[in-house]
Amino acid sequence: MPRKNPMCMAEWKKLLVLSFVLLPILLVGVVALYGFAVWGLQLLFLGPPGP
Amino acid sequence: MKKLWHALVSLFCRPAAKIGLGILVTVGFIAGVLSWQGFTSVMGVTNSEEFCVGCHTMQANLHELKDTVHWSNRSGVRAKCADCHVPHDFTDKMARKMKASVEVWSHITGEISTPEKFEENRLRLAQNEWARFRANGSKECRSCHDYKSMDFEKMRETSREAMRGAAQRNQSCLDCHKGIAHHKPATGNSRNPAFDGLMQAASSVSAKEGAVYYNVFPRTLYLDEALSQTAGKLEIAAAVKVLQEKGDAQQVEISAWRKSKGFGRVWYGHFGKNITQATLEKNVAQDAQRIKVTESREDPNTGLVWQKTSGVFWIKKGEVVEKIDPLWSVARDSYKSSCSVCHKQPDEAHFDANTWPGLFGGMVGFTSMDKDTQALVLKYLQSNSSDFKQAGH
Amino acid sequence: MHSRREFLKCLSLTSVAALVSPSLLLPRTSEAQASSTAQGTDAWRISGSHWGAIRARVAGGKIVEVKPFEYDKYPTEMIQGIIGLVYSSSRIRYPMVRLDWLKKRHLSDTSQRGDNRFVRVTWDQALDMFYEELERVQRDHGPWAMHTGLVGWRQTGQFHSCGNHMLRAVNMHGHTLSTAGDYSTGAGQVILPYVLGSTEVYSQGTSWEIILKETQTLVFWGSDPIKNLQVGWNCETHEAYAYLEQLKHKVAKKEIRVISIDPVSSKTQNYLNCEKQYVNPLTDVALMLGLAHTLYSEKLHDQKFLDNYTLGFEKFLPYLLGTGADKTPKSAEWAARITGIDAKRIKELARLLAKGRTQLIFGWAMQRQQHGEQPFWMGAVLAAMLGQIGLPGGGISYAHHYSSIGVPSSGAAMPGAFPLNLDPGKKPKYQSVDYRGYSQTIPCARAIDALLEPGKVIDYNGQKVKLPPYKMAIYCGCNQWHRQQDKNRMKQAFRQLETVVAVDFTWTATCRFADIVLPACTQFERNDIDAYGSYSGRGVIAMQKLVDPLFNSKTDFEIFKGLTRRFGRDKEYSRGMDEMQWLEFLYENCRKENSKKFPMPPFREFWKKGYVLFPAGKPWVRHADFRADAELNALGTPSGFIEIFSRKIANFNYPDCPGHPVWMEKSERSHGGPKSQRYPLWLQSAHPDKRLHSQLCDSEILRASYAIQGREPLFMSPQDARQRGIRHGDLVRVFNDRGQVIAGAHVSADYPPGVVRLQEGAWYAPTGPKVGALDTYGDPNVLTQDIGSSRLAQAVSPNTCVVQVEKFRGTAPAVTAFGGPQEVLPR
Repeated sequence: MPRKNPMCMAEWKKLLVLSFVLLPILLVGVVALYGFAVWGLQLLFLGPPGP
Repeated sequence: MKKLWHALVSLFCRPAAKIGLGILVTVGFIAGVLSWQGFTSVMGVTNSEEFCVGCHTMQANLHELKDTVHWSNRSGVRAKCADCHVPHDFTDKMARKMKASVEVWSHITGEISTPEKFEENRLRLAQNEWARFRANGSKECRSCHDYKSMDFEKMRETSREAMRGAAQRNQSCLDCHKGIAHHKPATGNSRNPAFDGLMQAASSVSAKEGAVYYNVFPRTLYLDEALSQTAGKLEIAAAVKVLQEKGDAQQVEISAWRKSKGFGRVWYGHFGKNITQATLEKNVAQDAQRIKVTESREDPNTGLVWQKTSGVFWIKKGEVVEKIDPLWSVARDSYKSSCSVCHKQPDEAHFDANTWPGLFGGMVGFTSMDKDTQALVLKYLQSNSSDFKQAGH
Repeated sequence: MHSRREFLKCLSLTSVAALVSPSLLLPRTSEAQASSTAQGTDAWRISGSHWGAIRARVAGGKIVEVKPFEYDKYPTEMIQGIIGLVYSSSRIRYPMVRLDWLKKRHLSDTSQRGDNRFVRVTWDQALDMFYEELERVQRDHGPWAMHTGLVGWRQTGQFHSCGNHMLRAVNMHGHTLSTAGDYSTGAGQVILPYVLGSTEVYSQGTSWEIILKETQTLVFWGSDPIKNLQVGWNCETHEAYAYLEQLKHKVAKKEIRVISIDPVSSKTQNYLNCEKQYVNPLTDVALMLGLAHTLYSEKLHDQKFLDNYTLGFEKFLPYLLGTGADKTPKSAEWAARITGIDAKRIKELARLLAKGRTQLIFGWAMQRQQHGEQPFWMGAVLAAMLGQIGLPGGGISYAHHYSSIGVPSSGAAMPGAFPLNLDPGKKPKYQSVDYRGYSQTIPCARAIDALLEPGKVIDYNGQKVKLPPYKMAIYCGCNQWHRQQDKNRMKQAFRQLETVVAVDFTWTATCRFADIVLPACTQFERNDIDAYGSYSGRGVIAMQKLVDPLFNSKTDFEIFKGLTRRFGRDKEYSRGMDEMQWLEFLYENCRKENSKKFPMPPFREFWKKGYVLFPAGKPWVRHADFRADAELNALGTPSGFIEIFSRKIANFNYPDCPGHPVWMEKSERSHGGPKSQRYPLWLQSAHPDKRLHSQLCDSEILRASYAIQGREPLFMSPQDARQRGIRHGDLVRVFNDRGQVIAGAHVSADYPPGVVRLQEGAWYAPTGPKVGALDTYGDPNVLTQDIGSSRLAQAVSPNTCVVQVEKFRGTAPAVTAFGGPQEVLPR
């Protein structure tokens, strides 16, 4: 009967938090940042998007 | 703080000791797929018309759309909010989504929360969208309606020529088709869409000092370059000489004639011809410092004494064009269509400049021309009357 | 090779057309049945007309009942004539061509015009001939030879407006000779822009509501609104009657003084039971001068108003006071001799006008006479002297009898019409604009002069007009042979014409004198939309087709589409749209224009319901803005002010229209005037009471209600009748040097001695094509004279006319006006 390894548990926890919580948030954040950046550039330099 | 940084570093950099690489990648891959799916689903939801009208502020717009061919038609193709208002490319789409934060803010503050408030802002909002469509050549429209795929022969006789020309120029759809999906806002009190084009043209004119320009729409005249003290009104299609530009203001000189009877508030373009150029406020018109009178002559047709006058005023930049012809072509079209509903419209040169106001004033009530179009058409008729052109008699 | 292909193409086209068009072999009845089956049974439909909006019941493919639209609270009985109009024996059934013209085309014997012998042809034949004539005239002569008659009171409906169809189609082919002015207000619309800065005759006037509230003395001067408001330019609402009813009550309670100045007791006088002021016919200017003289000499005039708002009073004064060239003061005593009114009464009247708020309301009859410019001008001078122009319930109006003027405008946009002009950028097939030195536009009333005196140069409103001897005339939905004066002169003139085309639904005299006659359907046989209330803008009304086009008739749209097909422009003509698509297009454009202030339902919803109504507009005062600020809101006159003296007119140097209003003797006048020895009776040809001009004269039901022994009534005084041994109901002969007509005597105390009336629009019914032939029905324009009002307006002068009347003896010839042509076989 295999013994429960606390290290293993922690790694699993980390893995799940990282891939299902932290990184998705990061994804949204980065995309939002990108959107804001482009919008900002449009406002300042680029003007509305061309064809 | 430091702790958190260390935790993050260890989280990302310390190799996993117990979990196999395959499992890590698999879980990561699944999480990636799921979150991308989630992301696009959310994007999809935010693109749906239910989402758009969810904040109650856009319900009227949807209602207006429902009356148009873009909502229901014999082919069963429907254009929903996002099809026209959200760019289809990733970058522009993301930028637009972020821009929506302003809309969230406006929803919270209730900027357009009532139909009345919305109507107040309709023009501004429409102008935003018009500017966007102008810049991208109505890209969203053209994802369905492409010039390349149009069979001009199948079009109506009248549409054909217009569409061919537009295709040749690769013109933006919204240049002509404003108000195609929602009610069109009244631009500057004018219902005549033809003015939009003129005003657009005027906004991009860079005036040369000392040259003559024509006013495309009735404008306020100011006494100062700060545009704070009003002097009167510059009438539609009036000629002005631009003296200089300062910031947002243009200094212009108006040379005209006025009648000596009365306060001399109304200025006319030619001696003895009632073609109005400007109307001044009483105190300005009477200000001998400001208004120069260089000549006085009696009009043989009325016995009134006319004075040749000039004055220097300020107007807002971007309101004048180099040539009068585009204005006249707008006027000619309005005249020919509006004045032939009941009878054949008389030739422009059939009457003289001072007879036209009486005839026009007596009949214009039958038409649905707005005030500015009326003024423009009358000026067109007067300026192309028998006084200036050989009559067709 | 090329020509053979063209030939084959033509052949196939004509054979297709032959398949499509109803066969000539089908008997008439089966055709009517075939069309009626499409209609279904028993249904109420809504439609509009000059006589108001109606609901009509259609059963078995026939219109069986007509009732007024619920909104119309004062409907006219004329709508009961509609069934008679659709099913009249005078309907044009088939395309017809005059016998001799069919044989010899443009070289035909034109003295046979009017003999009413016609040959039935197919639509294809008729349109081919029409087209070939267009080609011939443009090719051999040029645009000066092609005349398109002025279209006036076309059948209502914005899309099917027939003048627009004719002009668009004919002008796609080539340029034409067109007309200026009209028959109703020719003198008024030319003089008033010089005086009041607007044509006035077609302008919205001060709201009745304000007149009822503010006016203390209301003067109807030669104006008969109760009679004339029955009809309107678009679909009439009859809203103005509500105010006239209130006026009647106010008169009864003596809360307002209403005076009607008129030689006869008008329908309005009798309705309102108001004060009557007789005046000798055609002497209104003399009366106005007498009033003006009294105002000035008793210092009752408003000098401040004259100083601030008018020009040239000082130049008019010498004439008024008699210190000028003619040395004749235009005093009340002077006026009394001409007008037949006591000088004391004239002075009283002047004082009354100057006391309190006075509104003058003029009718149009006064300007339909020689020097017709003068009464309208002098009226403005009188109103200016009273100084109330621009005040609520004061001043002068020239149109309160017309199309519910005085009912405030809703402000909503009304639907547009089928385009009259070519689409932007399009050019006609024949682009020549070489008029050979002739004028491109002539005053409409001088169209007959052009044929009799080709090349003559006449004065017209400051210009010189050279009259072209046009060769071909096209009349569409207009009855030139009713509105033009002096029929015998006209007969002579028409012999100069090579080809005349008439498009109409009913066999008017214009068809009788035409060469190619094309049957249009009535407005009740097509779908259309119209403005409800020309001035009030009360709404938009659907004109749902009641029955299919009768016999072989077609809509004007189809007729002219067929014509343009002959030169390959039919797609451009119709823009590829059919009737219903056009209606939707016009309606939706109107809806778009109104979207902000006046929401309208989508087209389909509107069409089902049949109408959309807009809320009432705000009461309004004519010229109030001018009075408030004469400089910013200047009038459209040359000076911007009211011009009592017009230098511009004075500079024209016209002896019959000098620089200020004057009294001038007429070429003929009753009551002691010129020619009254020989022809002592003044003939007034007023607008009819139970017709719209010549429209509905063919409606037998309606005609039966006023005709006397089947003839048009001649209204005359008991005194004149007694003197001539005429009794009510007798047939009479009315005559002068220009012609003679038979009419039925209607003796009425509403008419004073020396005044008789034949209502205009009575169908011309000559016994034959000969010049001078007796008119068997009673058209006044057989007797009226065809002279211009003056060199200024060159308008018609029908009211300057004297006649004699005698009892008709012998057997009266049958009435030849109705029942269409005599159909003959080509030989």
